[in-house]
Amino acid sequence: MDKALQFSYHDRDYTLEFTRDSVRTMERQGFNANELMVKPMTMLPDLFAGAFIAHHPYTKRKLIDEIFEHIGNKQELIGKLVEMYNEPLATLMEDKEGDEGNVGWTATF
Amino acid sequence: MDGNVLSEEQEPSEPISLSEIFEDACPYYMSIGMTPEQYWCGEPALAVWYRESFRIKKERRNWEMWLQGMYIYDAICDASPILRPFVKKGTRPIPYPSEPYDLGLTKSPEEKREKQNSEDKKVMDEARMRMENLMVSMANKLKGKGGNTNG
Repeated sequence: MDKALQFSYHDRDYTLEFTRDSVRTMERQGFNANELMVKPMTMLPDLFAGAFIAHHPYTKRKLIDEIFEHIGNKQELIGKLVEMYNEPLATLMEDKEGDEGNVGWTATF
Repeated sequence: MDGNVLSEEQEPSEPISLSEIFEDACPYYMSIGMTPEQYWCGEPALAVWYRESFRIKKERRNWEMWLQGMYIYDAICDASPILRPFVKKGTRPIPYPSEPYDLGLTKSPEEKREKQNSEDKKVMDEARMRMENLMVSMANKLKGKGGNTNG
C-alpha cells in the first residue's frame, strides 16, 4: 500500500515519498498543487524536490535538480509523483465504493 | 439560467489547502489511537489501517454490549417466576447459569467432550445413589412389615 519511488544516484539509495508532514512543509514553502497545470516547468521540479523531504530532508536543492535532470522516463515519473502527492489525502477518505446511490463511471482512454 | 453549469453569480472558490484538511482530521485520528508522529510522518496508509482497526473494535464492543443485554434479559426471565403477583408458596427462580455462555472460543472439542462426560457421570452417580437409597428404604419397609406380621 505504501507508495514510494526508489532509485540510486552516485551510489546512494533514495526513497521518495510524501507524508502529511512533507505536504504541509511544501505548502508552507509556497507550493500549490493547483499551479501544476499552469506552470508545469516550475512546479514539477518543486514537486520532485518535495518528495525528498520525508526521507532525505537535508539533500541540497542543487543535487535534487541535478537528479531530476538526469532521471529517465519523466512522463511516467510525473504521473507517479502526482499519485504519491495525492496519497496522504486519499488515505483519509472513506472507501464508499460499495455504497448504493454512487454514480458509476468508466474511462475510455 | 437553464443549461448554465458554471453560474456567473458564484465567486471562484478558494484553493483547498491540504494542510488544513490534515490538521482538521488530525484530532479524529488521535482519538482512534494514532500518534501524532504516525499521522504526520508515518506511512499515509497507516490511517486506513487505524480506521479499519477502529471499525473492528466498534463492532466487537457492539457485540459485547449485546451479550450483556442477553445476560440481563436471561436473568430477568429466570427470576420472573417469583416476580409474578400472587405467586404460589415455594416457587423458586430458575438458577442463574453457573458459567458464561459457550461462545465456542474458550473450549476445544476435547474439553467439551470431557465436560459432557463428567456431567453425564454426575447424573448417573446421582441416579444410582437415589436407586440405592430407594432400595434400602424399601428393604427397611419390608423388614418392618415382616416383623409386624411375624410378631
